[in-house]
Amino acid sequence: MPAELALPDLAPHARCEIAPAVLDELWHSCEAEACGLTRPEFEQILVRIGMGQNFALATGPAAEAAGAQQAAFFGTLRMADLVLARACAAANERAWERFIALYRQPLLRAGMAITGNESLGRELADGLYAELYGLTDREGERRCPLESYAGRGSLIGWLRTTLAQRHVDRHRRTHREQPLEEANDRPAPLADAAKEPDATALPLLSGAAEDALQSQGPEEKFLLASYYLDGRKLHEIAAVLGVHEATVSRKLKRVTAAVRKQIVRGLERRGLSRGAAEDALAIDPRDLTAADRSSGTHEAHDHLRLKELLQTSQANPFKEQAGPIKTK
Amino acid sequence: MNPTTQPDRHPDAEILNAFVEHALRDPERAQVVAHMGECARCREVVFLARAAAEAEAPPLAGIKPEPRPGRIALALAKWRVALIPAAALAATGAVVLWVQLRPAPPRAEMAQTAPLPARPMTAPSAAPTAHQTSAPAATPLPAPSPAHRSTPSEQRPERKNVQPVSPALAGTGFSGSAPMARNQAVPAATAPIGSSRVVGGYHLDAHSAAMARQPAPPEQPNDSADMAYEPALTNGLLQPPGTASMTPAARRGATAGKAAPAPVPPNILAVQGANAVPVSDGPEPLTLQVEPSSVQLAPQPLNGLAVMQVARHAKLPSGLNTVSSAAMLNTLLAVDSAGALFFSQDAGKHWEAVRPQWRGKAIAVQAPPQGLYQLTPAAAAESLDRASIVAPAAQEKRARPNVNAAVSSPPPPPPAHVSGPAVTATGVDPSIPAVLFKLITDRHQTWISADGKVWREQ
Repeated sequence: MPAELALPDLAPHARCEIAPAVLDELWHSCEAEACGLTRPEFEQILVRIGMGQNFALATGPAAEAAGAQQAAFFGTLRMADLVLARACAAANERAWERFIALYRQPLLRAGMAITGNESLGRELADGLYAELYGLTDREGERRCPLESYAGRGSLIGWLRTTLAQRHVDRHRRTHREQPLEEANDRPAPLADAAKEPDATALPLLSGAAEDALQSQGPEEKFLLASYYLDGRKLHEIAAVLGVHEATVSRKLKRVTAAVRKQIVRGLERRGLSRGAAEDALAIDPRDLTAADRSSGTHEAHDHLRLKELLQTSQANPFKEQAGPIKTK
Repeated sequence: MNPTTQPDRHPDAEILNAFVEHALRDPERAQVVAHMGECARCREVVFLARAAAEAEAPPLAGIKPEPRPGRIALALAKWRVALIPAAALAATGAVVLWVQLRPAPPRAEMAQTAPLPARPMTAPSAAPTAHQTSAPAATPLPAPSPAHRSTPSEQRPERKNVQPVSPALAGTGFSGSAPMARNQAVPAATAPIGSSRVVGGYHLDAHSAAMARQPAPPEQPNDSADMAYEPALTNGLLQPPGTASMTPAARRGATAGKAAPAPVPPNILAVQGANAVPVSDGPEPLTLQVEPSSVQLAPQPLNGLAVMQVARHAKLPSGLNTVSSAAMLNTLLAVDSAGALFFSQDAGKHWEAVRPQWRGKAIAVQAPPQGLYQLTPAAAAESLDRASIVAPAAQEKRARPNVNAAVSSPPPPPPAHVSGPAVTATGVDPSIPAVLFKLITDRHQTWISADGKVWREQ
């Protein structure tokens, strides 16, 4: 038995036993033997998974979960992927061989698809592969990211998402590291007095837009941000949300009209006339962003920045939003 | 900013992957969506993972798609209901187009079948003039029955009841079969020449009314009248009716190259005197057996579209437009817009002003109808004799059903408004001067003239 699976903290959970019928069924369906696991090792993996989520029981200890409850809980998980991941995390050689045989090439292709570049994709995939193999140590302990895989989705999907996280984090970490010359070479905004936004209307518009956007629901915010800020296409948003493209279009149209109406009402509440409110809506947020860039400082707080309105820096941590959802 | 180091800030890969794969329950899903509405990083991770999954999706090579119906089949199935009325509409439009674009039948056919409005012969007596009252009244012919048609079956009994030809009709061009002819449709192709002119009169300034009563010009080659009249139209001179004795072939050759047949057969007396009858029976081509005639030909009116055009567009010496005109033979009279009268003897080639013998301005000039033309007494008597001889033989021929019977039918009766000297079998009353032209002034006075130059008030 690998040393990782014989951790001392597993001793209290060892009292929780998996129903023999469930264990037998999962043993065959998960091809645990192909992963080089023994039956006690496989049972230990199942106990840790079930105890980690309390067998999806709202109340009561996990040790009292009946066989049916255990079977229902395991039925919601990708047990084959989960067992393989846990076996790899336990440094099982046969499990790693199986993992490489199954996911090496898909991981490489996913890296290239995410980065859009073969070399970058290969570099990204190799970096994750090394990390998965447990080459990184923390506080003297070998940490394998595969331990965070809980089997709610497919293992390959988890790997892609992890690759995307690595790629986005690296990009967000490095995209600001630009030479000064490049920043200075940016063209100055065109000085067009006719299009210069009214300084008195900007704070009012900023406040009205913030109120209107904050009053929208979570999905409406996601739609607005994905479409107007990220520039995602309708079919991409529809694929993520699992709805039809026309549904996204219809919702976007409705949300846009509602936000516009609320902004106009907010401006009227702030003392602007109807015509002045309509004129204030004609301000192009891109001009405001350019003006903010040209200042080179963050002092232009009076300018309207829709991106900041939608992406509040004081966003609540996901842990507080998620509530009972366990995150790592 | 590593999510592994800040796990509370962003959902981990397990949650985001479950969100991408739609494996989250609704509450969890709503929480992830709410987070992504404000987190650009997680939105980007999700969209990138989704894009990578779509790129990784294996092509469905092993799955053979069902054969989809073609576009045409889909369109037909979709618009099947609309295709039915569309096809019906297209068919209707095609029929309408075919009817509209179909070449019109020759006018000659219409002229042969169009019945000519019959005119009762009693009209002259009903409206007697000064000349008619002095002359013996013409024998009134029975009024044609409207039920009579020009069918051969109906023609047969009518021919059996042929009445003796009135002497008064001899000069007007009516032969012994005149009663039957009045009940028949006017076959313009072989109707006795000038019969339609009798109906139409010679009032050239009433062009529309006169021409409306005239049937369309025939196109049959056996129309001897056309052959005699066409040179007169083309040359402006009336040719002697010697061509009446020509064979159809000769006449066909004589008129070769003339596309438009002359609308008016002028020389009716030449044919009437010869008393042409159809020799052939059945569907054979009509040939006329024209007997030599010694009838002295009377001057025939020059009429028709060509003359009307000449008179209308005459270049008068005054330079003014023609407001009224009349023609008789080669003699043309024209009234210009100033009220002056002009005279031409060469069919409008040369004009000379007529000295005003009336007061006021001339506003109209009229030519008399054909009935006023006269034969010499000897010629009329000889013509009548020949008509009485040939008529029985002709009647025997016509008694048989003959599709060409209508071709040889006599002309319709003369017009009712006959004015001028009465014509009798013995000729013209010498006490009555021949009146050819009428002139109406702006003072509503009527002046008459025999030659168009010397006028006297009526």
